[in-house]
Amino acid sequence: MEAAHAHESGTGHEHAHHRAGIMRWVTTTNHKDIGTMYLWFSFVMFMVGGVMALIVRAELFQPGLQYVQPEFFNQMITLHGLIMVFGAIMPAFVGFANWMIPLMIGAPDMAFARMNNWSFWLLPVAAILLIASMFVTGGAAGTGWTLYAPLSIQMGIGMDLTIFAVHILGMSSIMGSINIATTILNLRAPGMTLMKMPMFCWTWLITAFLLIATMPVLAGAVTMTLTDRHFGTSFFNAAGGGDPVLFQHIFWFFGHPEVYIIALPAFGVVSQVIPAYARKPLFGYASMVYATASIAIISFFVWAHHMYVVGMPVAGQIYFMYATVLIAVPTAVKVFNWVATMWRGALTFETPMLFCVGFLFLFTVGGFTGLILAMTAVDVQVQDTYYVVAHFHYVMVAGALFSAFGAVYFWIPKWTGHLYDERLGKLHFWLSFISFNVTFFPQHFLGLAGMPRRIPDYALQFADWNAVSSAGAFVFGFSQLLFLYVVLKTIRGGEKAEARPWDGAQGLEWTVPSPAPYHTFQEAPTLR
Amino acid sequence: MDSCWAYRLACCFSARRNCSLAPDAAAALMAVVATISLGVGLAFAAVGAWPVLPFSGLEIIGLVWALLAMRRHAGDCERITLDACRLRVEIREAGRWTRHELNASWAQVVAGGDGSVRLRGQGREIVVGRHLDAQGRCSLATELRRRLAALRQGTA
Repeated sequence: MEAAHAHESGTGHEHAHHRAGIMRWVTTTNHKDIGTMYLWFSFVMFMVGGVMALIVRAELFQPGLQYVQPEFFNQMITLHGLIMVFGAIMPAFVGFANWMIPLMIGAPDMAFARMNNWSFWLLPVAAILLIASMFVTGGAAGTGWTLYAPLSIQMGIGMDLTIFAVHILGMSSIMGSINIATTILNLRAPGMTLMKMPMFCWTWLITAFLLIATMPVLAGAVTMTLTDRHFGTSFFNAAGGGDPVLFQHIFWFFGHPEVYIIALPAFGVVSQVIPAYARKPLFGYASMVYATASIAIISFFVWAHHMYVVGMPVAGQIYFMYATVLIAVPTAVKVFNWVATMWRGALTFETPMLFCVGFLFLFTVGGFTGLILAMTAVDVQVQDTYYVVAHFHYVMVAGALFSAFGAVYFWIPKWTGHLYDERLGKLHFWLSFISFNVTFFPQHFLGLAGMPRRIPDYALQFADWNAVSSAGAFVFGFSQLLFLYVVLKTIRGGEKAEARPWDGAQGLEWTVPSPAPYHTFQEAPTLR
Repeated sequence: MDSCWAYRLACCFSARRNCSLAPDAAAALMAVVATISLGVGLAFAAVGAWPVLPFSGLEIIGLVWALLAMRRHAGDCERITLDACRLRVEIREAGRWTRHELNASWAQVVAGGDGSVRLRGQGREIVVGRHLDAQGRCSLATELRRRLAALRQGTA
């Protein structure tokens, strides 16, 4: 799809009328500024969550208790999960959405620019609450990111801060998703029908509706936890006639679609990047759209595969097993389409493509272990072991995080006007790819051998693979400093990027100059 | 030029704001989302977890507000009517109509340095073509000038 006329920039009316200094960022309603803030925020949280993961891995380097007490270990596990999911990965993709969706659909900004500002500025408040919870009496929540009852009902004030933070994060997500859905639906340029939209917009539109459908469930769950703790209700308190298992049902009704809330925008990124470096249109565009929608719909009907061992009728187990396996079908359609897009393409492997091919390989591994875990009989054996930890890190880190890195390298010329250092970018990829596998692949062995998750100490038989895993984790963690260096270097200078730095890249976003002017598409482009 | 952006050239020119979601489609979408979200809330209420329902309700209120806010401006348009002696400009914004009338014999079409088109006359200046792109505004200005000149020469 091409714009009928190139974007008019550099013609004298591209002045950036915005405040200077800190107030620019506090008061901005510009989608590019807000996208930038989301991305920096998510990187800072990624580092904070990463440090927590390294504390966990340092403790697990050897059997026995070396560095931290078990309570603090549990707090690190919990905060690492919450921060990575809600503070790092979700905001990163909202950042990409903010930056790129208006450019991709030819809109001047997001539909509700002021609400966009509020959605962002709620995030630091929630982050402060989460981190502050470590310093109150009793420390942070030690329940794991799932905040399971009855432990969540018994914890100290740190749990209240966590509940408040989750509420604020949910508000931010809801405002963000309403904004993104309204923008995509209402502000598309004339001629851009839904079935001509870039896949990244499609995946975000579907994700926005997933968020709209699931966030009230999370809000309800944490509110009930709060009222059980302080207002005498007994939703989850067995002593008062409540049911702790109800919390698990409610949490996973939100929690499983949440996996796709993270994964679908990652799929969108990969669907933008692979065609650009294969120099071919995306194979099976319509089937990609339908597969994305199918994944989103089915994700509502599989939540109890996280709960096979809590007590469930066999019929229920069988239903959830088959429903979960069904998700593999549309997911396989997507993987097939990405591979078919590359088939006989004029492939080159710049850093974004490397991260996306890495994503494709590792996400497929994570998907297969997901299928294994979907089997009730197997899951009963490996429930709450390191096999599960390995599985979801293959999905979350290799899936979402690798595609996020790919997205940054792909779009950073548009954001900064400079090309990144390809050599360092590739070094970042290979360090991350190898160290990621060194960290998480041995965890499959640990899980199959029976090592439970969320423990600071373990039997001697698990020592070797834990040492390997911890060594990999430290390399992976420190590799991300290289990413920071590459990004800072690109912002400060480098080879000038053209409007379309990748010759296979298609779409309206590549018709505007690099760096993208402060205001773009103030008049909607006409598509032909 | 896409039909929603095009001025239909007769004695009446009209243009409306670009809005890619039709009001009927917005209403249908809202109904589906509300049904799903409230359905989930009601299902949880039925098993005793009623606090999910108020959050579903709040969120649907937020979504309805967002779509209504967009819909308020979905009908924004401009209509310029030229008859034997009057040049009438009608602007609809957020459901409110503003009407201006100029004497066609004295009205002038002025192109601003910023690419805008203004109609000037009787001490007033009215910006027109706000829903058009630069090319569309240029065409509008040319056509209005031609028709006003023809009117003055009595050949319209």
